[in-house]
Amino acid sequence: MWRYLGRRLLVSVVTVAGIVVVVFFIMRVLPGDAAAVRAGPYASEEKLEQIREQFGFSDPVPVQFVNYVKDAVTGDLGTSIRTGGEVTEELLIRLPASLELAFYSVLLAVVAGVPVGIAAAARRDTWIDRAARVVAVLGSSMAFFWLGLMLTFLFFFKLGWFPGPVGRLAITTQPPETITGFFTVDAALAGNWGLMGEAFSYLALPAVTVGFVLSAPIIKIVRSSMIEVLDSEYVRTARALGVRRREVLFRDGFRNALIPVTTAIGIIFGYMLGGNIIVELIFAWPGVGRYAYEALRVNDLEALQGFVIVVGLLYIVLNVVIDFIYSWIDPRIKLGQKVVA
Amino acid sequence: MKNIRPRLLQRRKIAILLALALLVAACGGDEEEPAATTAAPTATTAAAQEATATTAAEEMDEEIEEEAPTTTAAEAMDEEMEEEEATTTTGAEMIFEKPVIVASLADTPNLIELHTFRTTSAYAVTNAVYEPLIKQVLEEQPNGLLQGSFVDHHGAGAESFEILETDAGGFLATFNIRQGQTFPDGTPVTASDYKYVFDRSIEGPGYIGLLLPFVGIAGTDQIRVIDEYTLEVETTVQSPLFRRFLTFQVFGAMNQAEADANATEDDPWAFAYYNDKGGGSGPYHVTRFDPDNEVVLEPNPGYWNAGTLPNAGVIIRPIPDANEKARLIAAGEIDVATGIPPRLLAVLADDPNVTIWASQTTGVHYLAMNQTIAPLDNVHVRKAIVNAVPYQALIDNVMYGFASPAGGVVTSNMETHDSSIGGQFRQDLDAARAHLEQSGVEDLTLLLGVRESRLGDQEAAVLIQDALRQIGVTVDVQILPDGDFSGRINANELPLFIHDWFSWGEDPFYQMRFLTTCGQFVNYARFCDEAYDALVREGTFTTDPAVRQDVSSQAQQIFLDQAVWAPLWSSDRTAVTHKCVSGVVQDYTRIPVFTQMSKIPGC
Repeated sequence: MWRYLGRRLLVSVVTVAGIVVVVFFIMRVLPGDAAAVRAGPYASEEKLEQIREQFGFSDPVPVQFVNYVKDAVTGDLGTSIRTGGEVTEELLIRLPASLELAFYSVLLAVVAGVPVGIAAAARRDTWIDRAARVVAVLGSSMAFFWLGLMLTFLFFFKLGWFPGPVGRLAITTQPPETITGFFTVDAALAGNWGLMGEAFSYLALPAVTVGFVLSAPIIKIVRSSMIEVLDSEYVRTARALGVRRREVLFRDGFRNALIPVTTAIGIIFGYMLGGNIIVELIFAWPGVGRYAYEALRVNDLEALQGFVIVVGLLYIVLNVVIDFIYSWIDPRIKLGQKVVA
Repeated sequence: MKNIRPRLLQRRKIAILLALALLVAACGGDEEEPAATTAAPTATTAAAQEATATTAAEEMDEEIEEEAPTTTAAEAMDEEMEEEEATTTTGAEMIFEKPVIVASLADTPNLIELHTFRTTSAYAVTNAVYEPLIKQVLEEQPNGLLQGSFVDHHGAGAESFEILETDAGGFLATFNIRQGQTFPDGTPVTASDYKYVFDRSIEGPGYIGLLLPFVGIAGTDQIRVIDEYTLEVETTVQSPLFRRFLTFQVFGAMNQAEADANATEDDPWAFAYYNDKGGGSGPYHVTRFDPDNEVVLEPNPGYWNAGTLPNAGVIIRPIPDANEKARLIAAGEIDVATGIPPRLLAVLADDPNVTIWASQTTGVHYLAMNQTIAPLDNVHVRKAIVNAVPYQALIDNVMYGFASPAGGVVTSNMETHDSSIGGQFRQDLDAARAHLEQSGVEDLTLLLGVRESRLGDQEAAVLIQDALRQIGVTVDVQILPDGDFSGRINANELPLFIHDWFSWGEDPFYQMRFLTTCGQFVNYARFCDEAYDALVREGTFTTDPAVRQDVSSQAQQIFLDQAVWAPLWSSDRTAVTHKCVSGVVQDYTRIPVFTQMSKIPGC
């Protein structure tokens, strides 16, 4: 275990270094002039130079890189040219919003997708299977922005069941004291059930939007994994020996299908870690995706770099967590040991 | 913050129940009955109202004394204040609620440092936080819009003022700073705080110093503190812009003690400190500044006119998606919105729940032709393009009527605009073809750049592309990220592009000077004509209306003859409010103003 963790840490350091190098140099070749945007219409060439110097853009690129790496290892991801604020701080403020949305969206996708996938596999070629496949195709082909707009139009504007897309809470509501950064959890920890309910009501439409679309790949993977397992010899043997169908389905079938399903969920969750820009824009969700979008529009290089690096770090952590989940699901998998065939 | 966090939640119980049910189902945990949501009480107390009303009343008791020509405006203001005092005093005896205004503006506030260029909504925040020496007198229009007067100004941070002509050909302005007004932390506002903001403009790293030469201020010695509450400003020229400049937020008092305490060796004017903080003595102060998410403005109890504020604060919440913003305003979730595209405005016009406040402005949207790039250095090519542009179609189909013809760099709604010249900017494809033939240029293909953030510009580009196709010019439209666009026009890499401009103060010579005189950084067309420059210089420092009209007309004629740009339209200033909202203001800057905004009781 410790050997495994040590090795993963080493690999992670190399991965992060790779991310920093690639991101830094890609940002430098992006067209555009952030200084011109920051300086505004009254800028003179001297003013532009002054801004470039202030933000370190007038140094040679290798010098900029060395300075950036030196600061980054201390957790300083630079200063946003758009807001004048510290990128690390600005990302940390926004990250919980994206993570909370990602968490509940993936949770919804799993809760909806896994049972549907199992049912489709267990009742192959029946109407249940066909319906599941239709849902999966719909989810795969549905654009986030379209579904988001339709849901707000129907459930907020027409029916008034859910609040408008104004962010994480009603405009006039004070957020709970920050403990985890998840408003639903922080409100619950503070015993403020009303606020927790409100936080859920504001989460509902964006989470359903994302959750529905993400449930499609989960349905497909669960279904195909389950079919593969259910067609295997050991399942057939179990059935021949008179083991009950439900037991076969969940004890033998689902448990063995969990590895690919976990991989898929991990990939989906990782995809969501960077925030879903479209959904965050539609629902005015103050997450890192929106931050990155605003930064991209004005060539805010430090903010963009910081965003990509933070998301990369989260992805690495997520992969380690998934490895641990593998070993928990399948005791044959021993972390840090070679697999003996 | 507690007193401006209220209501809104009752009708959401169904939503909350559904959401909780969803979660409980998802977690498979024990069910819990959702408790009723609680909202903090609204309302400022009667005592608080009384306190602010009394302070305001004491201030208003002092007579405004001014020399002509501002005496008339001052008297008018004095009468207004007395009326307001009476109303407020009566109001102080009963408990009443002031509404919190919820606004979603055209963009996202990025930073609120007073002398750093920022987004429009960030300017709206600083407009609410900083109090200039004087302000425009507001005149109510038939549609209820409060329009800032171009002629009359009243004392704001200054209780009274006089402006005299000097023998040296400039102005000497004396301002008596109001006593009793304070910054939100209780520090009294003095003449030094006003001098500080001018000194900071002139010597600090911000952009405002570039503007002051227009009114004949170049050195800090021209701003003098006579005593604690008397400030003197001396200019070297008599610019009609002087008074207008003094109304701008960027010359509002800054808390010098706070700024000095937060200055550093590298940052002696505390620019970094004020990126996310307000330091003014205006009607509001910033109690929460979370860029991209929310800005909360609460009334400044030390504001000189605090008792007359018709609202209990402002919450600015950026809603990036214009469609959602439109729905939210129709549903009454937000009170005022700006930045709604004309296409949506046209749809909202039929909605009985919203009011669209549209008023003409002097801003200009233009198709620039970079004259350093061949063949746009050929005047006939430029004239061909100017004559091919479908001006009215753009106003009808891109702006949906929320614009007027621009008619030149001195736009049709601007002082000294000459309609006999401006009227010649119209589509005439025969003339366009004739000019193209005269130019001798064949098989012309041009790149037209537009900003990604400007949907209207993109739509206009398509119509222009089609019009130019009709005279045999091929246009390749490129939608560029804003940062890329700025970089490329600065580097003279875009032959054609659509840009826009609005001059604070709305002065024609200021506009011409920046946009079209030799060597100006924002003269993106790189037009240069010495005779034109001389006319603009003459007009800039002349107060005689007849001379200004004459030189302006001559300059406009050169602009037309040289086909500097195709002036596409002059867009209306638009704000959308819920039907119950009143008190929309338009001043010299087009920046949203909250100080008059309220909700109609019982609406």
